[in-house]
Amino acid sequence: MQDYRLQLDHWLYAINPDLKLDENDGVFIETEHHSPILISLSEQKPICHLYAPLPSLPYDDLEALFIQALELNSYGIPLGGCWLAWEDELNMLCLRYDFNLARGDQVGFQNTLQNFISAMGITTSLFAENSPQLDNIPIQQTASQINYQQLA
Amino acid sequence: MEKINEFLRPRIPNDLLGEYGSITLEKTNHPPITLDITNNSEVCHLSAPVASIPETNAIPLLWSALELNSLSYGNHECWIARNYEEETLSVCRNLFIPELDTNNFNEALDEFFEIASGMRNTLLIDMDNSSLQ
Repeated sequence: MQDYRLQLDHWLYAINPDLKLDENDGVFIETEHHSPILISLSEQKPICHLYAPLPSLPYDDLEALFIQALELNSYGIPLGGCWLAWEDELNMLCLRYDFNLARGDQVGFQNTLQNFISAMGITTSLFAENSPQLDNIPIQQTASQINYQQLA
Repeated sequence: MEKINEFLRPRIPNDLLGEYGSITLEKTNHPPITLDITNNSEVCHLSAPVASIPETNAIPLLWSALELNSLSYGNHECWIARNYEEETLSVCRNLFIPELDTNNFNEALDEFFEIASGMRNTLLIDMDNSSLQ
């Protein structure tokens, strides 16, 4: 089987020479306006998971939040193929995408990462549009407080 | 669209993608899979119904569905979404047509039948457990 860890490390280096998979096959990429993105290599398949918590969504009305999240997942269209998931360990919604390393190349990976960051912004603004009281809702956790180790 | 018809021939020789690029495949004891291809798109969208959204007390089901979308469950490249028209939840997957051949397309369909079946059963069990509490 091809060494996908080496391949992914190579692509990460092209983005930023400081980026490298750690001993758990994961790496965090800082973003300017959103939570850091966790990229981790699958143990079972030639896939790397892109994963980012979304702490600034309106968590006061869970039913409305869940319905809207599942609607945004429809056809993968609004979020450009990314989807929303609930992460018990963090107690919040996260954005997800699985990038197939066997099929992709470096340009595809960089475009996917860019699309993922865009989808984080789209998600936040779409929820804000439908939640006029968003500014008054306390944010559960800030990005810096998120314990990514729980996901490892 | 012609490429997908070619991939489908070993499975269903006489019932290929219709005018609108959509077909539903059935397998005993599994949820039916619908394939959708929009004109000129390189993506074949798979979906299969896995639960109906109840009119009341929907939160446990919606919650379970979003949990199944999480990293912990390892359902690679599949996710659950709400079907707008039918108040149902469906599991979805996008297949990139240029990367497919007859074998890996049909393998992906078989794998998707199993994932859909597993998700439907998990959601049923979760709903039963939540109604008992």
